[in-house]
Amino acid sequence: MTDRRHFLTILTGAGWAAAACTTSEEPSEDDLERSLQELNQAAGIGIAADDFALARGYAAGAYREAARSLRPIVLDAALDLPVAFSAKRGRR
Amino acid sequence: MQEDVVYLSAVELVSRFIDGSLDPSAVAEAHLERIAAVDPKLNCYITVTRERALERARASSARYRAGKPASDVDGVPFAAKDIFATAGILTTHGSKLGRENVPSESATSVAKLEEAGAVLLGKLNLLEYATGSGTESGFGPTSNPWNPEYESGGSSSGSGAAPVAGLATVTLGTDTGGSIRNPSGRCGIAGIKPTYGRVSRHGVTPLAWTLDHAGPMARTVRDLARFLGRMSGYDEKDPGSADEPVPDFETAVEAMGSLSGKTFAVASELMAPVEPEVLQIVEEAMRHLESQGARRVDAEIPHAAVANIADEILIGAEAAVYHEQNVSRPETRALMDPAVRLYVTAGRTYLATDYVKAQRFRLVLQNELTEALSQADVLVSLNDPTLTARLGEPTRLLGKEVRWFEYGTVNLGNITGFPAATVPCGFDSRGLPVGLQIYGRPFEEERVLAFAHGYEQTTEWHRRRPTL
Repeated sequence: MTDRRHFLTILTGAGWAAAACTTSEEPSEDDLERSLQELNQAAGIGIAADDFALARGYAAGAYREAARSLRPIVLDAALDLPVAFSAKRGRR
Repeated sequence: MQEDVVYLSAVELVSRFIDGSLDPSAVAEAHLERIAAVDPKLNCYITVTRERALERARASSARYRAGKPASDVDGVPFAAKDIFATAGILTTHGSKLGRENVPSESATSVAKLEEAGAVLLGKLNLLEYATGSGTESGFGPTSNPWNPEYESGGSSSGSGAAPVAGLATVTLGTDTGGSIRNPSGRCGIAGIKPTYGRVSRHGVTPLAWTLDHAGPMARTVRDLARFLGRMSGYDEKDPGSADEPVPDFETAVEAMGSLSGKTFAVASELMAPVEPEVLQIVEEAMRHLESQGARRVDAEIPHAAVANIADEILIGAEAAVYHEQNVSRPETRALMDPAVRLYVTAGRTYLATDYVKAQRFRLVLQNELTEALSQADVLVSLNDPTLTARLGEPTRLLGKEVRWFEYGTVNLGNITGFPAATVPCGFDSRGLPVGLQIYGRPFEEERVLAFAHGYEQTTEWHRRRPTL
């Protein structure tokens, strides 16, 4: 049973979360995979072990790519979510 | 005789149905015979609806004899990716999980075509649940008709292979990250991912709700225009459906089909990285466009490459939600292809903040693509920078194995929702087709199709046939 303190420790201490979201340092693939595994177990994401083994390298690659290319982009605060997608001009 | 009939376009077929020189029943029969003879080599079809097709074809023949065809697609044989629901017909999503799924209602686009008299031949193979490269169908892979040792692209694999193999005149595909355009390019046919909202997705098994599109695939652009017209229109059953007027695409294509005086934009960000052989073919196609009187202008889409990871995060997260129950239960999980489980498992770990940022980022790319199109009728690019892989082998780009979020030019269309078509523009040194991609402004499919038609009509690539 994971208590709240341990859960928060993992969340705030997870290498991928800290490194990829708040600093420009690139986390190592191993750190990413290990942290994702801890998060899966601690946060109750519930991914089966064999599925996680399949996906961790792919997910870590996606995290690294997001950290490299998507997260550094600064978006205008006025940009709306595409709920009213401008390519979709439904009037009903 | 059989081969001639199965390679006639929808436009030619209907013209001959009207003048009485051909009969829809004979055409359906010819297709079914060819499917029986050729498809065991290719595995395009999961289900062939032989008796139902013949019955519908006979009804179509009767309408022509009475001088009252239902529409301009009456009697035309088509087939749908097995992710479109079909009432009373097995609909598997390309997965063993769907091997007993028989819907009670057809997808809107299938229903519209059948109401218009088109004859459904069956359901086509796909990468399981329309996921991307590396995935296999639960019913085995579809081979490329140009060389059965190679893949036919995906996820609309059977939809790409069937028309060029003479196994359907027109097919239906879906496109969440290039899944109409990729197999069209790999197999040497034309395909269009219309504007988001143009064609209803009601009855289409979702991969990612905010990125899924449905559209036609065919050997000629004019057939695409005709079928797109029949499939388009507002549908209250699809929350993403757009209430936009549907133009007569085919008439517009005929009227605007010349390349002379047209302007096409080229953005360097959509031309690299690329296999040199593919670049050579696409550059030659662009020179051909100029030789036919089209003017080339340079454009920029600075964040084009980021579309790939944004698409991955959105598809991963949305597919993870759709498949939450499937991957949670051991009995269903065991029936899923490991690569599908990989995709949807990865999606379960993605950050909510990345998801929201990817959604908001879509507007940045819409603005950049709008700007790129401001000086041109269309934007032309690579369709896929890689060479077609052998069956079972990973995709490589410049010698390196690549994951699909690391490369490509098609995700831009899904992220922005802008329309994009593919036409064949050459063959590589192994004899496999290469496609040219054409982007347009939202709800201007006719301009995209006209440009594609103009190119097609001044080249011979679409007339080539594989030896089967």
